[in-house]
Amino acid sequence: MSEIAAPGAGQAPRPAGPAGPVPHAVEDDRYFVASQWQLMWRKFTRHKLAIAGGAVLAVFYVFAMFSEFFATHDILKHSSEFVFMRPQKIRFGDENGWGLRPFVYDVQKVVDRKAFRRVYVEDPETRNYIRFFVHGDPYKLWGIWEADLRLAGVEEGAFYLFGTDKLGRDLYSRIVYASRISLSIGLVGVFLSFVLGCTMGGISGYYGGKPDMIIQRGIEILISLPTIPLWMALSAALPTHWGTLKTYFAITIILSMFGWAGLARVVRGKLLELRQQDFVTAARVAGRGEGKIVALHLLPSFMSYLIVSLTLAVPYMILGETALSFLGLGLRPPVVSWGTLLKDAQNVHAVLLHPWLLIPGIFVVVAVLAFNFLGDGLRDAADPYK
Amino acid sequence: MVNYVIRRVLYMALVLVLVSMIAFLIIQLPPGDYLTVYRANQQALGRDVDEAELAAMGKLYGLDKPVYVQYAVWVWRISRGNLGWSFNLKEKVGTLIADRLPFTVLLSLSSLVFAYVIAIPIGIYSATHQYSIADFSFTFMGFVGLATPNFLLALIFMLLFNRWFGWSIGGLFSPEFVDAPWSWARVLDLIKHMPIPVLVIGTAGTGYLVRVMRGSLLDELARQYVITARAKGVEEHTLLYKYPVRLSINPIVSTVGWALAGIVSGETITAIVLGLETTGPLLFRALLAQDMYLAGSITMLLTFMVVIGTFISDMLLVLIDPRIRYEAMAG
Amino acid sequence: MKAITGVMVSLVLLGSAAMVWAGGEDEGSSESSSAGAMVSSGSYNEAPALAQLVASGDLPPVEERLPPEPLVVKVKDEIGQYGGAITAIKHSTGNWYMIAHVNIEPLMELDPEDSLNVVPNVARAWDWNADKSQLTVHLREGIKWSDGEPFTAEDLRFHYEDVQFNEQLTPLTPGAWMSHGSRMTFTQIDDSTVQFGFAGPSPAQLFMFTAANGYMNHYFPAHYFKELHIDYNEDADKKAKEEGLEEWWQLFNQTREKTRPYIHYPGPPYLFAWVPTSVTMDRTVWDRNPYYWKVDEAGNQLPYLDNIYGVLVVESELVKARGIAGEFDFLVEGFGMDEAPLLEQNAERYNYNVIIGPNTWAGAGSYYLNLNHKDPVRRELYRDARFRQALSHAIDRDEINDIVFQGLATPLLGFALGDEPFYDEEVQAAEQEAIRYDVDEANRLLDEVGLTERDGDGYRLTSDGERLTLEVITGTGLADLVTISELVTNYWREVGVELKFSIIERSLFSLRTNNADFDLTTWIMEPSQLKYRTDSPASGWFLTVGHWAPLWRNWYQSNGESGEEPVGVAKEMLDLGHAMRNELDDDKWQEMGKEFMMMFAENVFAIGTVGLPPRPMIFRNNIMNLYDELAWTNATAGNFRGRVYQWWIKE
Repeated sequence: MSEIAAPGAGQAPRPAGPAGPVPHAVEDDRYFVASQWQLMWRKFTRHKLAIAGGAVLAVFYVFAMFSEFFATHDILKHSSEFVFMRPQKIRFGDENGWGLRPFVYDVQKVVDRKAFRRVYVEDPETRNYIRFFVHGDPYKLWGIWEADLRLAGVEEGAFYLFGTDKLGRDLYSRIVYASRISLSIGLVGVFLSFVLGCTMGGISGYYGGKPDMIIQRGIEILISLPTIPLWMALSAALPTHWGTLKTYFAITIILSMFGWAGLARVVRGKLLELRQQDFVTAARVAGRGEGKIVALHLLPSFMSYLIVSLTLAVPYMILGETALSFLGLGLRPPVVSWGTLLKDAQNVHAVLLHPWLLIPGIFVVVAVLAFNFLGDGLRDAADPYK
Repeated sequence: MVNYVIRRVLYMALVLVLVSMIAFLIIQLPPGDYLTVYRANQQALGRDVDEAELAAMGKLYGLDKPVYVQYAVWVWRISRGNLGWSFNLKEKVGTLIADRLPFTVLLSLSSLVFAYVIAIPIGIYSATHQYSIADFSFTFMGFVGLATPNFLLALIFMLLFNRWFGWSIGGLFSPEFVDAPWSWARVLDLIKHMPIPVLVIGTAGTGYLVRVMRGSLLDELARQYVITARAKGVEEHTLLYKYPVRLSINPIVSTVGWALAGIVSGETITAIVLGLETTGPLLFRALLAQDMYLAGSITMLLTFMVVIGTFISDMLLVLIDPRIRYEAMAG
Repeated sequence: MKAITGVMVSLVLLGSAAMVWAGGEDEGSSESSSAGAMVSSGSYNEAPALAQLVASGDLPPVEERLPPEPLVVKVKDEIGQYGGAITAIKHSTGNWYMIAHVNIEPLMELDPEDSLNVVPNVARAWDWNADKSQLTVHLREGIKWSDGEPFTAEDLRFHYEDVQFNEQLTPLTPGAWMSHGSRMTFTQIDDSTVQFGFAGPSPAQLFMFTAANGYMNHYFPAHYFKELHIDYNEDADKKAKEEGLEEWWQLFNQTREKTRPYIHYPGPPYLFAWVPTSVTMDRTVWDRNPYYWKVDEAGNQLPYLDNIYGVLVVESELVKARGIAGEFDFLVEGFGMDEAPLLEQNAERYNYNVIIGPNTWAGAGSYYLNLNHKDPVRRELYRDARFRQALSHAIDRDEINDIVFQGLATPLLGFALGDEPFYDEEVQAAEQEAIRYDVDEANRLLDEVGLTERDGDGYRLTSDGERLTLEVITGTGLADLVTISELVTNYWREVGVELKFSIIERSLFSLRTNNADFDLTTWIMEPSQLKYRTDSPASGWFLTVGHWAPLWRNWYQSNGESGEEPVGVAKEMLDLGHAMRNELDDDKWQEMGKEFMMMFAENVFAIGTVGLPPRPMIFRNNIMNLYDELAWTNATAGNFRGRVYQWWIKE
């Protein structure tokens, strides 16, 4: 990476014209000799929301990696005793005394035959203390190591932090587990369209002429095709033997083949603007190869835009996954993703009777927000003119 | 300039022909055809479908012919102003689309206007009060709007507004007005049904527009001429609205063609959840039913709208930004 | 008349064990509903709106509109009053249920009180020859189409000879008109008598003239359709060209599509109680048919209700939300038990009654192993009855019932409802044995089959050393199937069998199923319709044979020309099912039915979970003359018994 950064750093002050405010003189000399990446880091650390976004994402990804450990239950284990149970309150005390150890009350199912409801009654007399690093439902970490260590659990009785779903499965564990797929599987697609977008946009913008014309018409067609027929056709055309996960993976990859068009358009526009600039002429005079000029001089000069489009593509991918699940084209049970969890919550009864089923939505919103703030921070940091 | 426009129009025509082929191809991509779906659906309802019924249908709809013949028939009929027949809805495709399109356009335009009216002032405010509490909260709200899946938002709004205010659930009309002739009462009824969809569709767009507006205005405000003007003592209000705001609205306004097309094809999910009978759900169900001519025609129509929208946007850009005009004529 | 209809009454009726919880529905006689006293002519009443039209001379008087002997309907509870309209739901443009309940007029009907009893409808009476190879049908005289034109035997003749038997309009003869491998014959005797001839004894054919599975029209308004038929109108081709088509048969069939049963469009005249007058995509309006030919016992011309509105709501959550908010006067499908609490909460506020009735599915989610699997190892395994028994024993049906249906369904193997005349204690015992939850027994049977080796995760290995993974496919649209599959996955894991399921688009599901390209499918299971004789291995869903052995089904369907010939006990069973359809001797028929059921239960061709799942329905609380909840099910071979035409609204 530093290979790219070095020439970029040299070039930053070069463009003529309004170069943004001159940095404060109080800053020490290191500011002026710092590489572009160091400058970016400095600016980035001053962007509080971006730091917060980054931190949230770091936590999410750690949870996603070790979801078996952070989950309190086996995500597939059903229980007829706890169907549609609301989240349990974690308490530190009540009229019978307070303490430092968190606990939950014991709950019992009562079936109200007349109202067709299952009611869960708390018993304030029985406290189930929450223990940490407990031996819970066994699992295989990453499908390799057998283990049963879980972050938290109770000795006896129920412990459902976010309540349970229609089969009495633990919603909290399912959300944790779902993040693994929701935060990962689309990344490949995002990366692919990023590379394609830069390449095609680069060719189109830098060379102009015939290649530009052909690529532009191609982009026009790609952009103009409505997405829903495309999704539906693709998901129906892929072999049904593949299983949900593989099919979805294939769809994201194919979609990335269509998704590069917008980025390419912008890259082209920027290049058209930049290729007339002095520093490019200078590089050309200095005998740099065409490819190197694009890769080393032109692309870094709008790095900020690229980073932002990358960080923004990820949340769109997360939202896209939920939308596809809604339409019945994305992931489907038994695969657990935020999209499939939300599809389960896309119910009249969920909104009116079991609102805790909507909790996965909060995670989607938080993840998307975090990515956006991170992207914002990166943009500000990467912009050499600020 | 004229040359450029003519060339663009020619390209556009080429794209349209290609698109009609691709649209038809997409429709043909899933295995099976309308008969497969018809049979599966009837069986799911508990009715066995006789082979004879399928054979008669297949012959009637020309499904027994090869794909290229079907395409040729379609194109030939279109050239005579006949978009074909919907197998599933037993109605002329042209009539079906004509029924739906006005509502799609109405909904899209309303959402667009809603988004612009909310987003532009907020964007200006955020940019001029950068890093204020209001800026942060607008940013946050904008992102929440952007980040909440539309289908969830639609369902929640619909159910809660019904519970709290007794608003009727879904649809563009109350049942008694669905196929009533136009009257003031019907218009009023329509207006009563608009807020939720407009809110849901508009929210996502609003968040995005606020970001764009804020960003481009901030860029503009950092420019030399603004600083110079301020140094010369131009009043802040005049300074803001005279150039920077206008300049930063330009790109937003000039891409209105894309935005509109985006909303038309993007409202599908919201429309499905809310039961709005616009072209989105019509297309979705036609695709599910492999109702070939209906799905093909709507796909084509949507595509055309984007292509034409892009064309208009490009023209607007050329008119507004002289640099692009130069590029366009040179390239 | 009773002597004629009595043929079918002679079928033995056993108590309907599985339907007990539907409540006392045994009251009311099995008397044919047309058997009421004749109303003396000249004393008919009509709806006030129609009376006005008569007064202004726009409509002939009611006596002229009604046939001389109208069908006298024994209403469910009390004589009603005219007026009012109900709003119903159209789930999709071609939705079956709603319209079928409201409007369907086959030649004969099933008695709403006793579904094994065939009663007259458009046909006044019928008689068989000695070996039941010739059926003479006497049409009710003087019935008029909704446009006032008389309905005669010509309408049947045109329908059969010029449409059904016309190769251009009907390239393939529908199975309903085939018997013993050849097409039935049609003869018109006089204006109100027709005769159907079959190649051999065909008692089952009587049910084809009720609204049986795959119901096809039995007649056409000849005067309307002749305009489009080239044999009767030389300008038919020109007419088609005016509509943007090429040839007459295209326009004819396009119009015919619109009048397919359950799909009604304005234009052609109908015999229904209500006639569609305006159909937009969002809403259908049915107006009272002034020529409707049924009266109640007090001589009031039916129907009581002025209008029916069908409002299109497709998205399932929207259906529920609007239903809960009382936007429909009745809604019989769309709710699950998850919505039941909401319905209870809102019933009083929105003035409706909630009825939780059973959906008469023998299986709310049944599993079918593919006995025609392409891989010989798998095929051999799946054809082993012990393997299927083991998988059945591994399922905890009571828990499924509790979690998914709040304990209101019935654990069943999924082939019978228990109300079949040949379902006796012995069959019941065999069924109970097959569905017993017994993990030890399941493991023992699996070991016995030879699946003793296991891999590191505890899953069994097949004889070629692969993990025993079953991929179950299901079509989209039935949420409970997914829930049940998630539970079954857990149960089967306990005995070392891995279940992976994929939900695929319904049409793709249907394609893969028909091509025998799967391990396992899951779908709902319609109850056996052996008792109506309308079922045979050749039909599309005969005990879901199309799911567990699609190639065998094809073999029967094509008379042995394509597909695969079944083998072993399955062949015996299927042959039996094929033969009993046209068995004339009632005792023998009874015996065959029982033998069939025993074979099915002992060999577990379908692995059922629970059946008769609860289904919440709502009815506006001022609707009178409602039939019981079973009227709204498909238990009776597609003959619905809702009889909306005798509903009325109490002010």
